[in-house]
Formats: sequence, structure tokens, C-alpha cells
Amino acid sequence: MAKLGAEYSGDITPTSEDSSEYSVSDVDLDSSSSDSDQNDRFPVMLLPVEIRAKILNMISQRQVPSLRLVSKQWRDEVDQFYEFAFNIYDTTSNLSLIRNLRCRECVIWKLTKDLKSESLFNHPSYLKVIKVFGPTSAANLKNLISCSTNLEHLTMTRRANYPWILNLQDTPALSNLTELRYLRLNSEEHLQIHRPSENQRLNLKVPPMMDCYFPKLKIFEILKRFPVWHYSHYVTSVLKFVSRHSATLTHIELDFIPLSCIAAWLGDRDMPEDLSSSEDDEYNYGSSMEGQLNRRRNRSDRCVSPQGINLHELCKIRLQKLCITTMGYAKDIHIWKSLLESQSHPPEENNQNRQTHFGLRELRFDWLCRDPMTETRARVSGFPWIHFQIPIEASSTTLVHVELANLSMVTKAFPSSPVNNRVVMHKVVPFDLSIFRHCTRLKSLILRCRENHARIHPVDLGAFGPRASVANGAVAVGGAVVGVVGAGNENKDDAVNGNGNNNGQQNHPHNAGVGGVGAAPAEQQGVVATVGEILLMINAMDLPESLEQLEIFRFPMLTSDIESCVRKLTNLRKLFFHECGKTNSFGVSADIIRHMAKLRQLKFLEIVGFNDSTEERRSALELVFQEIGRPFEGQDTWLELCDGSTTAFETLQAVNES
Amino acid sequence: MALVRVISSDGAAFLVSQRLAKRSGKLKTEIETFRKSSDNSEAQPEIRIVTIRAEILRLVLQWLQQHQNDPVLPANQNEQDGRGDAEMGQSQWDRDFLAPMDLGIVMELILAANHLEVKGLLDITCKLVESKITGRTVDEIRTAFKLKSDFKGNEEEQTRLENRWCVEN
Repeated sequence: MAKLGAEYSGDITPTSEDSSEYSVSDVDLDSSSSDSDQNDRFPVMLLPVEIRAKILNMISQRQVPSLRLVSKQWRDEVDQFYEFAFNIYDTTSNLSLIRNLRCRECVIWKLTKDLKSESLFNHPSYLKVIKVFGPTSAANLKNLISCSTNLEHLTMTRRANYPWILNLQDTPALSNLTELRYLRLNSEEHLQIHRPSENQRLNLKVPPMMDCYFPKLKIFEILKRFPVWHYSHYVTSVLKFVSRHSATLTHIELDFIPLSCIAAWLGDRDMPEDLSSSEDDEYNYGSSMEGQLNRRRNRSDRCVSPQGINLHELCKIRLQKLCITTMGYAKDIHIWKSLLESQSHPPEENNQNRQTHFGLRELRFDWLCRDPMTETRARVSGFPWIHFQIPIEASSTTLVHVELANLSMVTKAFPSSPVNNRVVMHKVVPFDLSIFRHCTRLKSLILRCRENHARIHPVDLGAFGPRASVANGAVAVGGAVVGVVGAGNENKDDAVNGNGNNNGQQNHPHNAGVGGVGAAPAEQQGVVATVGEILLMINAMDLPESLEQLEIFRFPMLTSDIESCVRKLTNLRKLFFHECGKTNSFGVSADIIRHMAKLRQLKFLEIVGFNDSTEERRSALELVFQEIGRPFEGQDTWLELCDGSTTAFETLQAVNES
Repeated sequence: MALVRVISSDGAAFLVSQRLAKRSGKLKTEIETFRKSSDNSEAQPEIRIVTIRAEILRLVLQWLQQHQNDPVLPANQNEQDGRGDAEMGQSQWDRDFLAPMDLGIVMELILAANHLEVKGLLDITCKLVESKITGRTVDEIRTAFKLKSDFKGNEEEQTRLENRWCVEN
């Protein structure tokens, strides 16, 4: 027997100081005093109710019918304690049969049948999850929500497409949802492509749901489609809602999709968005005093006011997931920049998530834009990538997924181009991938550009010359802005010279973008131009080895840079290079495919566009394609190795064997 | 090292470090209550557990000792669906620990874990019972739990008909 203080060696010390006491060594499981009846059966019904309910609720609903058939007692037990998940489709669901059961999760596909004053469930306090995926009458939803005081998850999606989805008016029950942790709204208004009346434009109300406060809300997702003239109204409402929940939210996904963007994708250029152009202002409002007032009011509606959304409060939020899809004006960039930068600061005292490790895990940002050729002067066609540098570097130990689209260097508006004699300026600015170099947990990186610069003439990128000049930052910084010429510009030399002023910035790759910001060649040279940009991906060899998914769409990359990153990223499972250059020293070459063949984990591979600009490159590509048994159809070849039956690595083995 | 004396219903006493004992919600409360009521701060608390016999108490303490460095789980760890997190925390040691036990001992262990407020142990023991049900037919469940059907007349057929809503959903 171990003696306290002498031979004590563990946390549990049995004692037998008193002979009447048991000691641990006297206890032998094999000869326990349990009677044989107790060993032979498991008296479930003797367990406390909460434990029976706990065990029952570990069982999948698929198994429940079997349990109900075991005995009458078990059937009653299931009906009384099991927390079901129901799919409600009111023409087939027997609502009266399920009324008495305890429902934990309710997915509504159709609930338009009038419930009258009856509750859908007699035990609404058990309801934790409501997902509305289909048509539901406002009265029924109100009926369901008003008594579900323990609701933790509420999802309402587009197919339940009613204007009241954000307008649950006269629903005091919303304020009862004190346990709500997850709110997901996917809604849209009816397509209104006609011009709105003045009343509609000026008398928009805040959607009542966005006026609510849910004290435990952690996850908020909203997908909102709206006419473009409602942009500031809805974005302001939603951001105010987010600000109000800054102490609790950890995940936000805000997708603001103006209908003009949808129309632009569909090729419709004649959307009411044109209301925002100054010419249309004149047309709509005339020059009267009232017209001037309305015009001013209209302009103020375009931007989101930092005061209106309580930016100070918004910047207190500390997120693990930050996903934004939006369009915007130059003035709005400040709001998103502040939100992004605030993620690098520790949470404040009152933040409920202060104890948990903070830092972004997922970052997605898509700045929707129309074709820059038709951009109005106030609208910004891309989001300055430099604003991601601080949050990405501050979250380098936590980031797992990053997806950025429609990036830019432009931070201020440029004058609209005249319809005729249009001059297009292209600025080539570097996007420095080394901002990800310390992201040791990064698994997935997706970068998208809407415009395709792969076919750009060699003169466009020629100033970058050999690889080394980009790597040491000299060209990327000193000559960050390389003006190049599009259709209609006769003075190519002036444009190519661009504006090399970098205001004395150090030649560090991170400063490259900053150097570009200060340059406004079109304005300074007095050229009336629409400015397009080419973001050149540089320093891909600095991407972290943890990457398993790398997708780059329509950003030019140097061949040597692509090769270095493919050689380094040996854990890649999914690799997409779309239109990364077809000329000069850019784009995918045969050697790169040979390096890809060594990526043992590679399952999915897509390459669109190859550089076959020289005879030597073309022959090498033809040979590689021959080895893997695919036809090479020139620089537009689409190589897709992800058919599901064989992995890309297996298909590329032919290259290794040869 | 501060110790606490834990005594089972059948009189067996176990000297346990207070740090380990405090991983049980119930023992933690008892120790704190003892400290508040005792004048002597050096006195060793003694806690009688009148509902748990030595064999079961020893198993609980053994499990606590093995998991003494685990993070303490909040009561409602899995907020997403509220269905507990037994699968998340089960280690090979846990599986070996539970493997030789018959259902009678498991039953007592569940009651003890519940009484002593040891969430992790409660989760894995409940999960063990669940595993005796999942994937089994009605007859197999009856056999495993030594139960007989008590349906009369067409009650079983009626229940089978009622199960339709269950299958539908």
C-alpha cells in the first residue's frame, strides 16, 4: 500500500489506514459484487431522463423506426424524448402526426397551408434549427418563430422568395431569439429593371430584420440582390447590423450583388445604373432647384457613409471568416480597408470571443465590377490589393483559405473616356505573392481577374524584360507603372514611358504596389483615357509549401515564376492556371508540365492557354502533349486532367516515364 | 500537493489530488464548500459519495487521471447541433478502457459520471450504449438489451404504419 508522502507516485492514492475501509488494491473488477441480473441486461429505463434523451439523440433518425418497434415502452420513449429533424412539405407531411413530437431541426420546403392559430409543434422550445428553403406564408413563419425561443439557427433562402424575407414586420418574436447564433439570409427583390419612382428612391425603409439585435449571434451570412439604386441603402442597413453585433460575430459572409452587375454579365448595357452618370443626372433632374436637390440626394445615396454604418463599432469586430462580395465607389474603399486592417489588432475587452484565438482563417473578397471600358467615373473597377497585405500578414498563422477577385491598384476615380477616339491606358503593376510567405497553414489560394490579358501584345509587358529585373523589384517598383497602348492610341512611345515616379520608395517588393498608387499617368499627361490595369503576379516562389489548392485566373505570370512555384509546392492537390500569358516570357511552358508530373498529390489540373510563341516552345509543348496522349491545339489549348477516374498525377506519369 | 479523501458508498477511501478531483464538477463544488466552512485551511477535505460503490469510483478516478491534461469541456460544447461530442474525444485508451465492461458496469459508470459531473466520461459511456443500438435490427436490439416485445394485437403493425412519417422525413 502506498503511503502518503513517502511512496506516493500518483494522483490517486488508496488508503487503508482504517481496516474497515476499502483500498483500491482490494477492488477487483472481475469479482465485482454486481449481481448476474444486472450484468445480463441494461436497464435503460432506470437512467435519468436527461441521460436517456442524450443517448437517444446520439442515434440517427434512420435508426429510429427500429427503436419504435422494440417495445411499447421504447416507442413511447422515442416519441417523448427523441429530437427529430423534419422536412416539412405540407401536402405530404402529416402535420398532425408530428405535432406532438419534439423537433430539433425543421427544414421547410413548403408551408403555405393555413395553420390557423395552431402551433406547428407542441414543444417549440426544443426547436434549435429552422431552414426555410421553399414557399412559406408569412403568417406560418411568424407562427413558428414566435414560439421558438431557443432557436439557434435560422436560414431563409432565395427559393422562399418573398419580399418580406427581410421584412418580417410586426414580428416582435424576433427580439425573443436570444439564443440565435447563426443567421443566414439569401434573398432578392423582384427584378425591377424599370426606373424607380421618386418615392421608391427616396423613401426606402431599413429592413426590420436588420434592425434587430441577437445577443449571441456568431455567424451571419447574407446574399442580397438589389437594384443598383438601392446599393447604399442595403449595404448601410446590413453593415449597421454587423456593427451592432461586433462583440459576438466571428464569421460574416456578405454578398451584395447589384442587379446591374447581373445585367452586365448578361450583356445588357442599358440598365438603370446609368442614372448615376452625370449626363443622366442632368437629364433626370434638369437644372431647377428641386432638380439640383434631388441630384445631390441621389449622389449621396451612391456611397456608404462611415457614420451611417458606425464604422468605429464595425472595426471592433474580430473575425475568423470574412467574405465580402460587393461593388462600390471610390469613397467606399475606406470602409472595407478599415475593416480589413482592424483584423490585425487584438480584440477589445468587451469582445465575447476575446478568449479564443483570434485571426482570420478564411478571407474572400470579390469586388464586382463592370467592364472598365464602360465604368462610370465614380465606380471603381477593382479593389486595391495592397489593402489585403496587413490582414494577411497579421493572420499568417491562422489563414487557411484566401480567395480574392477583381483586384486593382486604382484608389481614385479616373475621367470617363469619350465615346469616340477612345484611348485605353494599361498600367502594369505587380501583385506581390510574397505577402503569403509566412502563411504556414494556408491550404487554398484562389486569385481571379475578370479581364483576360493573356493575348496582350509583347510590347505591353516588354518593359519587364528578363525575370531578374522583376525579382529584384527594380522594374516592379521604379517602373511600376508601364503605360501601354490599346486601340486608338497613336502616341505609343509616350504611353509606354508612362510615369516612373515612385516617390523615392524603397525597392522592396511590398512597396511595389504603393509606388503604383501614386501614379496617374493618364491624368498627369493630360490624356483623356480609360485606365485598365494589368496586375502581374510576382514572387510566386514565396508561396507557402502548405498550399494544397492554387488557382490563378487571368493574371499574367512569368514562366520562370510559375516554374519555381510548381517545383516548390509539392503538396498541391488542385492546380489551375488560366490565361497566365501566351507571349514573351510569360505563361505555361512544356518544362512546367514536366515539373507538374512530379507532384504526387496532384488530383486536379487545369491549364488554359500556353505560351508557344517561339518554334522551340511550340515543339516542346507538342512533345509533352504527345507523351500524355492529348492533342495540342496551339496557345488556346485547354488541358484538363480531372476526370474523376484517374488523378492528374497518374495521367502525367507518361511524362515521367518518357 | 493538496489532497482530498473521496469515500465510496461501500466505505473505500481514495486519496486524490485536489487538482485531479476538481475535474469533476461535483467534487470541485464539495471541495470549495469545505474550504469555505473550514477554519483550518490546511485541513484535508473528506467527501462521501453515497451513491457510487468502490469499483465504479475507482474507474471514474482512473479515467480522470488518464484525462487530467485534457481541456475542460463546456457543458454545451457542440453548439451547432447540440448533440454532444462523444466521438470527438474518444481515444484508443478510452476504447480499451471500456472494452472489457459489461453493460451493467457501463450503466453504473454512466450514473457515476452524471452524478460526479464528468462530461467526457458521460459522453463516451453514452456513446457506447448508442453503438449497441445503431445498425442493429429490432430483434438484435431486443437481444442485446434482453427485452421482449410487449405489443399486443395489431399494435406492432400500427406502429409500423406510424413509422412512415419517420421514413418519409
